[in-house]
Amino acid sequence: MNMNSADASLLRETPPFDVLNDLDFAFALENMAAMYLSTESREEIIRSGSVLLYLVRSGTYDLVSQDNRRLERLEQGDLFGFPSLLSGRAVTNRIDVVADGIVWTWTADVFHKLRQRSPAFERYFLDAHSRRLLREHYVTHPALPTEGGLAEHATDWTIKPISDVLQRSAVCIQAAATVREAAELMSQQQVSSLLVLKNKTLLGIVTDRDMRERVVAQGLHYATAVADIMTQMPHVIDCKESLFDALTLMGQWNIHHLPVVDENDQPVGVITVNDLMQQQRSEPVVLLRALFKASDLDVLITEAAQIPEYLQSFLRSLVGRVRDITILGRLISSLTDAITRKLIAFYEQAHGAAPVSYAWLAFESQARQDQTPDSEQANGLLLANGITSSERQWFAGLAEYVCEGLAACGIPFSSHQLMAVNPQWRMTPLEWRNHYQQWLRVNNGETLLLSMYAADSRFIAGNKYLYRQHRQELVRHAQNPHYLSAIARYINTLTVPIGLFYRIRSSADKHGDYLDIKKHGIAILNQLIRLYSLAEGLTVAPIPERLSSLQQSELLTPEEIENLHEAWYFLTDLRLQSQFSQRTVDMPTHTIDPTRLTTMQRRQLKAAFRVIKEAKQGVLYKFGRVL
Amino acid sequence: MWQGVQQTLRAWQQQRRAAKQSWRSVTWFAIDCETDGLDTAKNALLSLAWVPIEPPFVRLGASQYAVVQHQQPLSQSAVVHQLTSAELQQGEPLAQLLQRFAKATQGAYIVAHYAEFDRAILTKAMRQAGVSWQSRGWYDTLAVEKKQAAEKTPRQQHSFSLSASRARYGLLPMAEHHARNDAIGCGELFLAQVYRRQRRRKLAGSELTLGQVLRRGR
Repeated sequence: MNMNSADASLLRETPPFDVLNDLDFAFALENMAAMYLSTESREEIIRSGSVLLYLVRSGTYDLVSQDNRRLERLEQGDLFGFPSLLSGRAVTNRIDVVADGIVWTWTADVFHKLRQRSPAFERYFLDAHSRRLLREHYVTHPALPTEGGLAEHATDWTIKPISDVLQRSAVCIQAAATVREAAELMSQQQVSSLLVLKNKTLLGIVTDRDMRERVVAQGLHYATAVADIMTQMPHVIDCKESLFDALTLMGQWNIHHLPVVDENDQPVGVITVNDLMQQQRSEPVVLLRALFKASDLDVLITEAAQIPEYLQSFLRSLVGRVRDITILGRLISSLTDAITRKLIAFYEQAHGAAPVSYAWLAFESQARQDQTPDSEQANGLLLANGITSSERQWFAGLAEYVCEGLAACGIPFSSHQLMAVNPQWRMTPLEWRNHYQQWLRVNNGETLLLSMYAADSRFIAGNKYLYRQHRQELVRHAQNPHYLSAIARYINTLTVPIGLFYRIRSSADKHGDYLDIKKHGIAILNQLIRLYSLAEGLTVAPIPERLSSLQQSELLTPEEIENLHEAWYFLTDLRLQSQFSQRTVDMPTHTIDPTRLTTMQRRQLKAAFRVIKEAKQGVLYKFGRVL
Repeated sequence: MWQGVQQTLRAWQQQRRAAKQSWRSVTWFAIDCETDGLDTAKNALLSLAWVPIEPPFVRLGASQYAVVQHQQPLSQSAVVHQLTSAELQQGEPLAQLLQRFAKATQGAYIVAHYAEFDRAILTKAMRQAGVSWQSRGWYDTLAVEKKQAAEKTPRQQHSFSLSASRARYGLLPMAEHHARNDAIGCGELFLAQVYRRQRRRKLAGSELTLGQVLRRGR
């Protein structure tokens, strides 16, 4: 082998040279040259007309389009030159030299021979050319959730959608039926509960235990109407939610039967605690049980203190078992939900039931269920219209108790005051509407952000119907072209980096060696996907579900959705990995150290940034111009 | 005698013509000799590497490296170059290696870091092995670094080692004290020096001549 061994082993680890067999790799090595790439030598190559494959060793170069757009910053480990090699067409993009350096090169002849010899080698370049580096065979990420339910690939039972494990369809009885008829139906169908309907609407649930305690023990007549002994307005769960979510609800309300409904609130079945127990034990369950069992605030705080360690061990247990690390985001959000509900219950125990109906809302990452260990609180309260000022006191107390409690459990206060303790986030539907319309009118950066927070929520506790009405209303208001245009223009003021190392550092950014992938990536993606969701009137919050719903949208091509999903998944995964791996003390949250990424990860990170950059331009084009 | 003068004159004219052509139109080789000491009179050649340069390319795949056969144990320097006595025993006979080198680099211009040293070692070894070899000319990357430092104000304490010199051009550090690495590293440094010089002299569009490059590298 005619090469020094350090360079040879470096090339051996660089995709796609890592897929070549020894013979083909030796061929690649024998035909490799180191080129000094400067503005002058670039001219010499252009004049000579030779077309080459380049791999950057040192220096910095910009890939610039014919119309002078800087497409990509090429840094150590990046490949370029292959598009014209593949297409055989003349080179259209040009290379601007930012800093001279060495690039390794291969002639077209050698490139084509390697392509012929190794299909895997060729496939890499074809994929890179058609911007598919974030696709399945490079990153193990799950496909988009399909219509049928969430995460087909989920191997961990806790995130399986409930619809996957429902044993049978709902066994229902009409409200006018007698308890005898109910008992007969139960034994005939061998079920331990019945859903009580009026026509098709769910009114209540009746269980074995109700029969025992409310009928037999009370000596009621068997002709009593089932409606008289049922539990009215039971807690329900959506069939797309996970087993984990079902478990949190059961634990929260201490119930063993949970009616499952579809998106139209039609009952589709019942999930029981036995159904859940039949699934294997897993760490999240142990953790959740401990949280549920907490008898007071002190115990809850003590249990919550274990969460970070639990998450670490859960993450370790996921390695090699689950392809989708984003379930960690769902898990953290479920834990936050559980703690919130527990805190609300404690407050109600101490101060009596709520004076009017209300809904506790989650915003931002808790709403989207992509929380990280560093995520701040984001919550608010929706209070029934007509609430009196003395009744408001009860909720002010609740907000203070819950927010303080969450902070004590390790979920830091919101640095944007996006919390129920702030009266601005504690309003009736009427007040919400007025504020919202005001925000839409003013339309500057700050009010836009407020309105976007408000539009992006998830129900946590209280009255679900109150929440739903409110949510539908906000969605209707948001489908205003001027508002959507303002968001699109706002998004286009956010910067997406084109390179990972040699970037322009803002004066405020003293951590210039790290890359904030939340600020420059995930947050912008969230905004983009939120914009499309608002335009389409979607009320689901988690990103994968949003993208899956957007497949019906005419605003996005299937490929655009796929690209957004891949970019989102890649960045979310990278952030979680970085948050759980060894970090230096001064490293700010949500940042990564580009020097610690593999060559492939760097190329993928750039591919993800490029997706975001293009999507940014896309929304400006689609929504930006409104007369 | 008249014939001899004519020959010399013709060679001189040829050289002058050559000096005016582009530095890129001739063949260059970056070389590195590893020895068991820094005394050119006493110490022996342990290994030799050479790599062709066709600006702006260093032809990595065509680089050559060989260890010289030695039977007796050598001084400490062999350890620096990480050569074991087994490797040295299995090395290539000196004459064969030098013939191979001479054939490959015949009529080429030679680039080395501290060229004076490599030149002295090679000349001695060639004489010893009875191989005749004449390079067209030499370019010393270290001499260029020294000139560069001298031209700069204020003067800075510079290290002129290959790795320190490379670092000044933003070239990556490499594993040193292996003849092949050093030859390649020196080749890259040569390209960086000449292309930077070309830019500084605002010769965009027109290239440095061979004569200009060689004068700089003396």
